[in-house]
Amino acid sequence: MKPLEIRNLTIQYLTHRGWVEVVSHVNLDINEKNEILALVGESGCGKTTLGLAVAGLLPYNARVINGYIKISGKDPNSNSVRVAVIFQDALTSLNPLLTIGEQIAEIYIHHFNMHKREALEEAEKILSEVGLPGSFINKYPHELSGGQRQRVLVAIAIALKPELIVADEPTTALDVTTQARVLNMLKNIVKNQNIPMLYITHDLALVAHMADKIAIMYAGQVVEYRDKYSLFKQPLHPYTRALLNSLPRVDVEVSELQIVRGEPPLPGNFPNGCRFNPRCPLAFSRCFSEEPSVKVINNGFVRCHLYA
Amino acid sequence: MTRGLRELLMIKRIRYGISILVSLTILSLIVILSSPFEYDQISYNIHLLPFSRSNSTWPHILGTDSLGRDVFTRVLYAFILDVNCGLAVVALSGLIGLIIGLISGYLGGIIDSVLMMIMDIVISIPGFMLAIAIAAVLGSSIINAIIAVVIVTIPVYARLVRGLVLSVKENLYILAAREAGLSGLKIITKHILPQVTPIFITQATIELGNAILYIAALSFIGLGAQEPTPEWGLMISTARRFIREAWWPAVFPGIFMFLTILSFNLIGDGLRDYLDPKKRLSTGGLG
Amino acid sequence: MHSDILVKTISLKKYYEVRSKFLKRIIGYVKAVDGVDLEIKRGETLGLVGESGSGKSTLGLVLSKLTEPTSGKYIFKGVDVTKTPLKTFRGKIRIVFQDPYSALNPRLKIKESLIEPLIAQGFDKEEALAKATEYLKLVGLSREHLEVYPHMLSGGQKQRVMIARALITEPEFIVLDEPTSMLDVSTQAQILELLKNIKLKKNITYLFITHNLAVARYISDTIAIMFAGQIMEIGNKNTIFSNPLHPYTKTLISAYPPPDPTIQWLPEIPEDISSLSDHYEQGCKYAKRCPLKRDLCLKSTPELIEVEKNHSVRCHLYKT
Repeated sequence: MKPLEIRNLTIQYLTHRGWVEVVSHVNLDINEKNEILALVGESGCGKTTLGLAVAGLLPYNARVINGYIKISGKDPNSNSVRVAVIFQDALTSLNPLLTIGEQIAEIYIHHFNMHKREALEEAEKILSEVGLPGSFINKYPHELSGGQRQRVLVAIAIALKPELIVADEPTTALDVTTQARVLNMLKNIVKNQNIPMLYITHDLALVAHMADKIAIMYAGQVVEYRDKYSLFKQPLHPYTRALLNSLPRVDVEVSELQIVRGEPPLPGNFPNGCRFNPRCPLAFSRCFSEEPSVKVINNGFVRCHLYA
Repeated sequence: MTRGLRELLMIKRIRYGISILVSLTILSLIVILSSPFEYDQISYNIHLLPFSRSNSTWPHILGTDSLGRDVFTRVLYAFILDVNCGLAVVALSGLIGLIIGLISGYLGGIIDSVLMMIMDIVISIPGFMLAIAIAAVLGSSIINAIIAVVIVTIPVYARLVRGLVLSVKENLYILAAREAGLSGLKIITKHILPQVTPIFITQATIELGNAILYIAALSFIGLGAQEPTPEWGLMISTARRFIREAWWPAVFPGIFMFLTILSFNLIGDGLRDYLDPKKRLSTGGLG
Repeated sequence: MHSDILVKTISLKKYYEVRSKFLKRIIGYVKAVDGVDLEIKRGETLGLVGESGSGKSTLGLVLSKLTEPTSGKYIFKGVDVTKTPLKTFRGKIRIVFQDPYSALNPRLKIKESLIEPLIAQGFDKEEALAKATEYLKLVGLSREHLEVYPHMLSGGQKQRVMIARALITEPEFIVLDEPTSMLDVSTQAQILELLKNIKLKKNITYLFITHNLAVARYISDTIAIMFAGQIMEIGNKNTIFSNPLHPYTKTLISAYPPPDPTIQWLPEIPEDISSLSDHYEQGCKYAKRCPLKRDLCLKSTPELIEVEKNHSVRCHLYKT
């Protein structure tokens, strides 16, 4: 069974203007247990909603109206599935009144029916997996730095022995030097412990080194899905190209950034036809009237009339 | 402006409150303009008469009090008087409290510490005790009662406004306004006051009821309105002695006072609800 | 030659007092800016790069005259303006904040926020509105945007409004505090482009504060690397990247993943359990994290010395 299977998933949100579509007909897979699938996109693209859906954490004002998600063959909302989530904000994700040890131990107590003492021992062990000293089990969240708190969140996540980890912008709030270390740790955990990861981010540079497969999301749809090397070597979708070319770089001098006019549309305001057409430098007549369907290429697909 | 009013009127509590007030106001106007009785028309031979026993051409709808005065007329004159006194209290203490709160909240530092210390001292003395003390010192009259209640309630507004100012001050657009070169006064009037005003008005509406209660209570114990002024508290006080023979001169002032204060509380409560969840609904957050 | 220099700071310090809860006694200081010497030439963009806690935003607040330094001098156009109040500058020094969402009063129409700096200077409303329209066009918006409320605009559009609001008083010097950090990547590119164009058109000098070294590389002429309230390295952009000197600079550069999976990414991040504000009291502020530290580094604070033309570094590894 695949670690993650998403078929034709469509999700709506209830706003003051009624139900609006936020995720449209998404098809994605994670095929191997040590695979990282990156979901990349800008605001309003639906990546966070998709992540919440996979984690079984959709709020009450969201509904799935089409398709399904299966994690190792199970529904995300079922009791037997174990999906761990790592959010962006480590500060508010941790209880300031409990020690680190107690918070990690909670996982063992609740999910594995351990007694407190045993759970605390396991907690101490798992801290080394995330590069923290065992003595930290007695510390409180406010005593730790941002990067250390994020590591604790990862420890809590893997304590669950999850079938899948959903990480939503886990390093965005961290300094770049801390980010580098945390990314390294995350990658090692996936590869060494065989836990698949859905990595959600807006940072395309980061996924070049984190991910195995990359899905680019725009306005609720996956517009390109490729393996990492193919995507960067030959990006197909105009949006992917625009994203890549609008990145300033540290390693080389960039004389000009590609400017795409306009901004990503918000749910409820998606244009007709291809959702990228108001901004696409290569748009032609068909793009304005007809939604492009998915074109499969070796081990990937692209959603664009240029390739139909 | 009118859209806001229409939305306000959709709230049940506000509708009920306003209906009561409007009815009482109309009733009072009718009485003042066309009552066959004067509020101080004394006539011993018809004293303490309930409705059924009146014998003049016009009935005493709610009976007469211990001096033969028409209770109905007096109760509605008292409505006008008490509500106006309440308005005077709220206007004065509200204005002064607003200014203190704005200055204290915006300037901070020593000024804030001193002003708030004064406010704390006033608030630490039980309100009614302080009002009695002030009214006793100043002398028994309705004006002095108003002054006493004003002094007692200023801190309520000052602290409320100061708290609001402190939280609004945290917003980045206040720093941006400072950066743009706006003077403190302009920042207060343009950015802070519009956010303070709605909550301030809501509190003031609720405080109106309290003010009326204070005035009535002071008059009840003899420190506010004096005879023959038609004032609810005073009326109840005078009628207390005869309550076993005639309950109506004591009870009806109480009923009308209750209805009036209730209506202000309803309106204030409705206003508070109007201001709160509305903001949450209108943003319609998306994940 | 020296009239070229628009902004100059000498040993600028900004300390915040930490007071005890009870008697409000001073028990320590947060040394946000701890001795900064820099020069910005007219027409130049100085990219001030630092991670959180480096003091870069505080330095921005001091240079935009929103707060007074604790000690040191701030020299603007050759005049000591350390104690001069903001109003005296009449809009010649402005700031663009990081968060366009909170920088605009949500209850005011865009035009109200936009004309604020002019009203503060005594312009009448007619004139101010005319200028507002002109500057809206300059930043790529239109007259219609005057009448809308902030929540109707996107993040990028809001930031354009804030830029117009800064430009409207025809400043000579603008402090930009992470102006694109809260925007999408594609929007960031637009705003950076806009800032570049405006700078050329209006000959404005920028202090561009950012935590993102790549953005700094793109937009700056000169780059200053800040750590724990001090400038660790400062120089011409090309020189900094072709020849990074300070160990911190090298660490920073290596920490950025290149958007290309075929390039091997090997970040050189020293193992560090301490937090950013944790450094030795004397000596070099970076010593606690520095893999190359020596005894001297713990004892004395290195000076900022020019190692090559337009390239200075604060590190005991180097001599003039």
